[in-house]
Amino acid sequence: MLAVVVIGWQAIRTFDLAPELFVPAPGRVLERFLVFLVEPYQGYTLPVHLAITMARVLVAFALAAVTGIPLGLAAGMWGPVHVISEPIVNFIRPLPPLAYLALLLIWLGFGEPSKIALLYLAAVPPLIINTRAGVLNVRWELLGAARALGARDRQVFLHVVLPASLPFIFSGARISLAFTYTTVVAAELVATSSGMGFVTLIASEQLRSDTIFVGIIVMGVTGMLLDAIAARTERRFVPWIGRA
Amino acid sequence: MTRTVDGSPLPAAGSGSRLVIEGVAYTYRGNGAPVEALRPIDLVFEPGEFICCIGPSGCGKTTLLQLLAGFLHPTSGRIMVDGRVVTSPGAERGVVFQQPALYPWLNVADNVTFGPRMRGAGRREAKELAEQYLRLVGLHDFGHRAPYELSGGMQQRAAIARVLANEPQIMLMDEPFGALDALTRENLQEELLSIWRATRRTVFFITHNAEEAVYLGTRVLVMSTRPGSVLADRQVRFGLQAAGDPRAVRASRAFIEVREELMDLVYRPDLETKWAEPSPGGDDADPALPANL
Repeated sequence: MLAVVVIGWQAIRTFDLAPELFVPAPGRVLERFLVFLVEPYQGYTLPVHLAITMARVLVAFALAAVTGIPLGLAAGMWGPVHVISEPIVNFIRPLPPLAYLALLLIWLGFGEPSKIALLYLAAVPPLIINTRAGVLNVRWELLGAARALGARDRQVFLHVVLPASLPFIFSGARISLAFTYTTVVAAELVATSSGMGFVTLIASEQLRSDTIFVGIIVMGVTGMLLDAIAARTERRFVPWIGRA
Repeated sequence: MTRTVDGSPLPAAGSGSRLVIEGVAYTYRGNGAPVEALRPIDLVFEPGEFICCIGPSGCGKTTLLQLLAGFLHPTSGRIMVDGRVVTSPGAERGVVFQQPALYPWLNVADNVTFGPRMRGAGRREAKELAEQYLRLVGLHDFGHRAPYELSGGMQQRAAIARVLANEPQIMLMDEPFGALDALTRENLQEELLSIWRATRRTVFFITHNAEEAVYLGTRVLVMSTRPGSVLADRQVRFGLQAAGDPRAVRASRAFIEVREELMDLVYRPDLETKWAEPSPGGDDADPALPANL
């Protein structure tokens, strides 16, 4: 598949089907990639830009996980928590993050906190919604069996509700991580001076299509790797998905 | 004590609890019209009895079991175990569900010792209990496996071991072998009987298979269609006999006579209307999540 894409791509160049500015040759993009690995562009080398982007994603995702999962559990266990949190979550969830970025910039300034806050707001709704769904989807026999074996409420929660919700929590985390990653690139298009989104935007302003290609390919591959790691983690912690 | 079918007295009382059901009735109140599932029922389960409950689909067998387990509260009447009124699920009343309900995040041994560990058993005690009860149900080589790596029959064995390891006074079993193939079912019936003969805990066993009820029980309850009530309450003794040839027992005239008599009670009254009726809130439908879970 990859070979077909590269051959087709090279063919466009070989037969000159599109201007060099629109579609640079694969060799040139590769060369640009190798140079960018060690030579700074817009202040940093490619690995540093990527690391900055990843740090934003992971910090925001971690904050969302440590707050969203407990909130989702609470919303699943107690109706009142759900009644209060649901309208807020449902209001934020469909909003495109860029719609409230302006507000966050006014409130939190142009530094990292506004970016982290934006990503946090993107990351947290799927975690809350899925975690709550996980709690509500626990088979009642699993709860009943624990009660009939003498488990107390706290034990039922810790030893049954929590592990039984893990498949939903993990799928929420994967959705959340993917959405956070999508959002970070958009966030970096505005009011930043580092990161993969920023580099790609500047490259387009300077009509450096080889760098744009490098940026897009690196972001795509990184996104795939991120999801592959998440999938592996899921299999490691909830090996019973689809089997029990 | 009541006479058994062949006239011999029941053996000495077992070690389980005495369970008293006093005027217990239950009506489901969902979104639609209330559904009367059980008419007032009065029964006494003596210690060590193996009570099998049969009846048509939707007759309230499962409702009765869930009341006994404490998952549901009677609309009227009360249930007492050794004189104490049942208000919630409790470790002295173990429950085996139709589907094994094992915890997939625990291995089989940890599933079996779940109850004792929740109630404060230490690591060493848990390990000994796991060995003892896995051996009892023939799963001693499978303790470290995940439940979903086991066959359906083995999972149900593990679920039974999990309840036994908790040493309940009464075992409530809701069609535990209903989802198994005939051969596995017969093997598990023999195992359950030999465990029951050894422990003599009270067993309340739901089935819709009259043969299974007559074969296993010391007493068979036949329930009517919804709203459920007890049509017949018979002492039997095939399950009490020392392990003979199960097939010979099932083929014997005495066995077939009792079985046919009970099947008549299940099937004959109002045969036409019975199957035409829908059964909202019946025993095959999942009742709403009980509030006290």
